Amino acid sequence: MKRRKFLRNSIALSAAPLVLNQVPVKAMASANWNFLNCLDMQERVLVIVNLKGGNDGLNTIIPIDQYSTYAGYRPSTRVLDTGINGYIPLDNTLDVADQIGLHPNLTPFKSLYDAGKLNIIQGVSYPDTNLSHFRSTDIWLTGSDGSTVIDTGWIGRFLDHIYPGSAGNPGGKMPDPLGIQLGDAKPSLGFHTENEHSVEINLTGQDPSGFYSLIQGIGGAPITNIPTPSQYGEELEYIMNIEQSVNVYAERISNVFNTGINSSTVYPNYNLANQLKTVARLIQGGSKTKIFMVNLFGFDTHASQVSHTDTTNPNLGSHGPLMTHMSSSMKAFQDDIEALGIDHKIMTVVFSEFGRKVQENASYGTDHGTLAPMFVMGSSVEPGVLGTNVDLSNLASNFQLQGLQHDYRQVFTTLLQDWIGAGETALAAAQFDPYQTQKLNLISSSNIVDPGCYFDNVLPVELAEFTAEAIRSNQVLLEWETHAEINSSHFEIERSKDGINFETIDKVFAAGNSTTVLYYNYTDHEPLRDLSYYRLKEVDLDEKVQYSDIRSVKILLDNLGIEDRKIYPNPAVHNFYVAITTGDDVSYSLNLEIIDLNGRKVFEQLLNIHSGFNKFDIPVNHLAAGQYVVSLNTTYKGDYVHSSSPLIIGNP
Amino acid sequence: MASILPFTGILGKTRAAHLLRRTTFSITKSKIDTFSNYTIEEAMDALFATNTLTINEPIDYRLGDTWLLNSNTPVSPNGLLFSYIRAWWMNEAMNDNTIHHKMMFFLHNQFTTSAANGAGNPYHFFNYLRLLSIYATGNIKTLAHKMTFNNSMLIYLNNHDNRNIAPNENYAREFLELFTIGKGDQIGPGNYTNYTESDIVMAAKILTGIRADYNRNTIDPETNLPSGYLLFSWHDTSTKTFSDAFQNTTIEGATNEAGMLVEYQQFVDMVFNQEATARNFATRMYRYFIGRKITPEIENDIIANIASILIAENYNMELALRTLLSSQHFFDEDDAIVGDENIGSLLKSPVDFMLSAISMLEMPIPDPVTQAEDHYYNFFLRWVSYTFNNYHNFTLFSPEVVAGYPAFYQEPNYNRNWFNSTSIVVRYKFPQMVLQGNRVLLSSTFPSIFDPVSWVENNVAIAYDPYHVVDTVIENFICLTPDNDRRNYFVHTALLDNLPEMDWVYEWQTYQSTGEDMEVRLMLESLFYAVLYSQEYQLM
Repeated sequence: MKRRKFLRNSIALSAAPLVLNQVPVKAMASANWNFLNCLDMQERVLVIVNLKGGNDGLNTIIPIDQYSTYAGYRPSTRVLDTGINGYIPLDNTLDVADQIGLHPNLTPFKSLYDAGKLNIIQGVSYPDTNLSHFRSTDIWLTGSDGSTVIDTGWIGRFLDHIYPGSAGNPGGKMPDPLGIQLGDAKPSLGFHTENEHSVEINLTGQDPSGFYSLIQGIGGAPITNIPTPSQYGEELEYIMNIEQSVNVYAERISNVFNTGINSSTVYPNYNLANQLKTVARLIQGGSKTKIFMVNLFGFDTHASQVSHTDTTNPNLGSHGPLMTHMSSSMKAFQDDIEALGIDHKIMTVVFSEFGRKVQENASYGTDHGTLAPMFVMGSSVEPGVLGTNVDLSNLASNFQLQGLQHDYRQVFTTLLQDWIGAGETALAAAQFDPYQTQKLNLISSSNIVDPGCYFDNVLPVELAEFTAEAIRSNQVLLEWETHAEINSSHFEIERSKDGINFETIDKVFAAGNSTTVLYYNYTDHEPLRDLSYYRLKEVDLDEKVQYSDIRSVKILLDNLGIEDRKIYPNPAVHNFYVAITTGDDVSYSLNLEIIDLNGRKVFEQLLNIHSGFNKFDIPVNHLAAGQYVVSLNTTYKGDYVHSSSPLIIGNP
Repeated sequence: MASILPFTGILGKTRAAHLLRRTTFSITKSKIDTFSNYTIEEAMDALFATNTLTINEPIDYRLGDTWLLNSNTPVSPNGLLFSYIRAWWMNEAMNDNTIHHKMMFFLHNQFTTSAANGAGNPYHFFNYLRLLSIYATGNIKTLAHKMTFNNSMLIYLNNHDNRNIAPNENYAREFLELFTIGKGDQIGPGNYTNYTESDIVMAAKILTGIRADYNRNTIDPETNLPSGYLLFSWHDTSTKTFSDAFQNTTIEGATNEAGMLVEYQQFVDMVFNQEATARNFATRMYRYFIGRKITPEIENDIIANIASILIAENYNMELALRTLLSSQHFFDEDDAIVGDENIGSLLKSPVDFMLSAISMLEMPIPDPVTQAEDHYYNFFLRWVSYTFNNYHNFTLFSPEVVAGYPAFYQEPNYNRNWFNSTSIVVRYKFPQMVLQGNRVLLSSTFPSIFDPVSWVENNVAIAYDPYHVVDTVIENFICLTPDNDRRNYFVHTALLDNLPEMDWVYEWQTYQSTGEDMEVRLMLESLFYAVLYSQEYQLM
């Protein structure tokens, strides 16, 4: 690791604080640097920038020490060493053999580097680089290499592991899609999991703000009996899965987006900038999505990478503008998230499926090649340059770079563990566990996730099936199962009348360690009248806690000897009927109330119930059209019992 | 065992509809009825009959005349001219009763250029389509040969700039990786089983000096189409030696311009002499026409057979295609459970979805001659391309990458890629657009409206019977007969809104006697909403 002394901390402390909505951002940022807890780490996000087509690494970062060899291989397409279009010397404190010149359009990268927010990783690929775009892209996204094939994406495997069952099923821990892709409508193989479902939502071409209004209510009635075994049936299920996940996430995405804001940072008008701007706004708006993937096309520069009329002007060919597009978009993103005070949550990594051949072709372009650099950007990055310049004096056949310095899996393993907090089992799910011992120095030391905060350790109890059911008017049965437990202490039973403020009513001891399915139950003998909410608080031996989803229970009328109860017609116009059929030896009164949407009682009547069939005609012609709730309640043998049903009153 | 043997007997409706959905873009109830009485031979003869274009070329409606095949100067900008050609192609596809346009789309995915991404001007695009059309069901080896000289391709993959002093490998790589033999597993550094990195270098040298003729003055005598030209001074004259994937073939360098063609022909012969090339085409045909999952059994029983036929026929495609599409396997009749594997197993592509919907719904789209602006601009460009196709990230004949559309190459999902969290929007807004014609996803009114009452009058024999109405609609719109619960949903929930069956009888008879169609229209709109919204309708 060659690095200069970066001035990041002193700059942050000495500069006047940025003010955003009257909140000094500096204080927020420095607090996070000095004080880390697991909750902070769980909020972290990875943004992956995919440069599609194979970026010309050699013209992105130029090996200054071998400039004349480089220029010899690239008489037309070379980046100049001097003048206004000359490369930008990155860092004169690096060893001579490591000196890099940035493409002249990478000024934004130069300032990011100087501010200590950029790490450049030299010579990245994998053993036996495959020079097919499509195969190599699959390799990067599945976590394989030139000699192995994997069918599923490492991102999907990882996310599926740390949020089991959450894909398409938003809940307490993860209300958002596990991954979001922008900039390429093709679902990325990276998010593909074994269950034939993808864990991401693709927002390409969508206006997130209007996503929900566009999506809501679309789709037909679900099919009740899907043919099986049948390919047709499998496709129908696939379609229903997409329908469901779009429907369940659309409202949340729109809400998060509409809640979120961007700062006054000016983004350039580029496709990638727009994608990143959306990402910043979603995160600011509270999205808990873990991995975002954004895409920039156009890097397959076989021809006219520079203009044949003026090879020295980088803006006339195709590669120079891409360098501007990429770096200015990323710099704006970093500026924005810093101004918003969310930069401590976000790390951005850039990759391309491969680099380009050392020797140019006669079309003012370059053909597919092996190694290329990666970039990691963020406020918590360990800045610098990893590795040394590619060796142009020792090429493989057909003018290809050799000497792999970093396997891309080392980079992603480092980011998953040191940044996101993937422990050993989560890395194993991603199939990156062999690289745990080969991590790179990419995250600044004070920001590396503490092993005690790894996802694997934080969620020691896998809770499945949690149900709550009223079995009598004064008994509620809670049942739950765990599928795995590590170091669990006990479950606290919590109850609430409003679903917001919970009180602990009792405690059930847990198994401690288990790898099999365990069954638990608890009976509440003093449930609240009407509606009760329950949840479980699972406490570990080391006092970490997690909460279950919330279940609600209504105490119903069924213990009053009622065999059948109907309220009809619904919608009602002038009147409606309440028909109640009871068993033998019954005689009591029910209080009927009609409640409007503001909770006001607008009508009340006493119904005398006897054995057999009872029918009551309830007039509603004095009530305005709209939605109401019909409530039936009484105190019976000392218990308050209650039932309610929705009622619509239509226009006459 | 998967069987390549032909299906015998009369097709019947389910199989007829399956065959038509997979082989044409144009499907109507009357076509299904006709094909349902055919034997497989009669059906194949109909599909492989000669297609006659309704119009030979699009017009530039701003000019009020054609421009591609005469010396007129168009007035619309190039972007619009491209879209007129796309519209023309779609309209022809929708009027094609044969397999012709379906094969053109297949070959476009096999030999991809991308009109919107640097593949020449509208003339070059049009000539690329004409080349695909000439060989649509013809010889794929000849097509591959000619494709190298196609100006659109020469520009798109930069072979125009491929020069001896430093060859450009772009076209050579894709010719091997995607267009012909295909990549195999990587079995060593730079070795992809079927070819190696060094073979790409050699192929690139053979292709040096084949350049685009931007002005279209060079004409290929066999196709009568403009083609590229040879520039000997740019050609690499060294001897080219290939790897053992090609039996270490050596090809001597040309000593003059004519020799370049000999060299190139030897190269094409060498590639097409490999069985892997035939296998690659057979696999691509299988995925396009039948399904994405290829088991070892299908590999042995179907793909190997189709590849053998291609080789025996010297790469003429027709017999291979007829065999594949006639097979018991195609109709899912080759094992104990009929209809559980192939029928309804593909997600409709946007072209399939749109063109089959317009034809099946018998929607009156604006006439290309008398309503040219509405036809080319308002309907095909604004509505089909900008609205429907864009939500699929799909521009016709313009994939983002040279491998074609992800649905045809991206494992493991293949055609499932067409249905995702973006395209679902427009697919599920479609019923609203065609039934209401109102502003859905578009700032202006939809230029064509589906009339469900006419559809029922024209296509349902016993229209007063609600079950017969629903069964007829299902039979034509949905691949496989649904179970009773689903049928009841369409009858009672969708059509009848839970009113008694007699209500429909009454309403239909009222309409017949009074001409007042409001009630039946509302009920039928509800039925067609349910059918077009159904998950089943996404499949073909």
